[in-house]
Amino acid sequence: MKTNALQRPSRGMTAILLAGYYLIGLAANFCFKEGGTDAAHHWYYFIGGNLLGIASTALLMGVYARLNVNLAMVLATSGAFLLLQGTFWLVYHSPLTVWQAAGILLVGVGTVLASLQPVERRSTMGNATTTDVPAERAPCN
Amino acid sequence: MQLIMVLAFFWAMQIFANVAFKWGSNGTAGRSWRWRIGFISGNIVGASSILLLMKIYALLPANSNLAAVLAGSGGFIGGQLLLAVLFKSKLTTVQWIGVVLVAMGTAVTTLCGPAGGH
Repeated sequence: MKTNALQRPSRGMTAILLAGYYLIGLAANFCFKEGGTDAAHHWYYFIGGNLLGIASTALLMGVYARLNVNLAMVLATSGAFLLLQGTFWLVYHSPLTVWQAAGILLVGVGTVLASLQPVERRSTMGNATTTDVPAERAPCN
Repeated sequence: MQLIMVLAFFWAMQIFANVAFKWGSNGTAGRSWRWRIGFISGNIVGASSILLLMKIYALLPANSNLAAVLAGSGGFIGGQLLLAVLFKSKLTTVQWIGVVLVAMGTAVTTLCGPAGGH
């Protein structure tokens, strides 16, 4: 039985899960935005957006299972934030000033920094990304 | 004024949901009452808060980006601070810088341009 091949997280699958999380999360946010401005279909968007949101978290859990938790959190939060902002700007033509764009960038950078957790120990094993223990999540008594 | 009220309630509900999830996570997954209460209350409050998020988008119809930044960052900052206080989690210097940057970015985005209302 090829246990190594089965146990090793596939990069392709991780990328697919992350992309799925981004896209479904983005779709959920579009539902929330449209539901806010389209009173006739308010509840459809509310229910649809929430279902999509729940589905996206299932994919996120798949990403967490395959990547270092720090990296997964940074990729998930900052990627989703920047994708949402960029897509909203393109689709809805939001009238952003240069300062507002800079502010959004600051929020993005801040989110990345705030999501970075200290790594308590580094694994010396081959697959380091799955065995690092962030100090914040390390068991403590 | 209405926007500030809706934002405040949305942030409070988001923060409550996060605290409930964290509090419930200390119980045995799926079995203990603590886990169930945290999971159910967090999801009920979190899902309900989406109604307020939709209201925020409705109040800022011309600037979806601003609405998304305001909605997301307030809950993020408040959640970080309250979780740090309640659960005594120690944020590193870099994480504190991140929280401050999010707060600064939100302030700059809000104050330096059109609000995007009617």
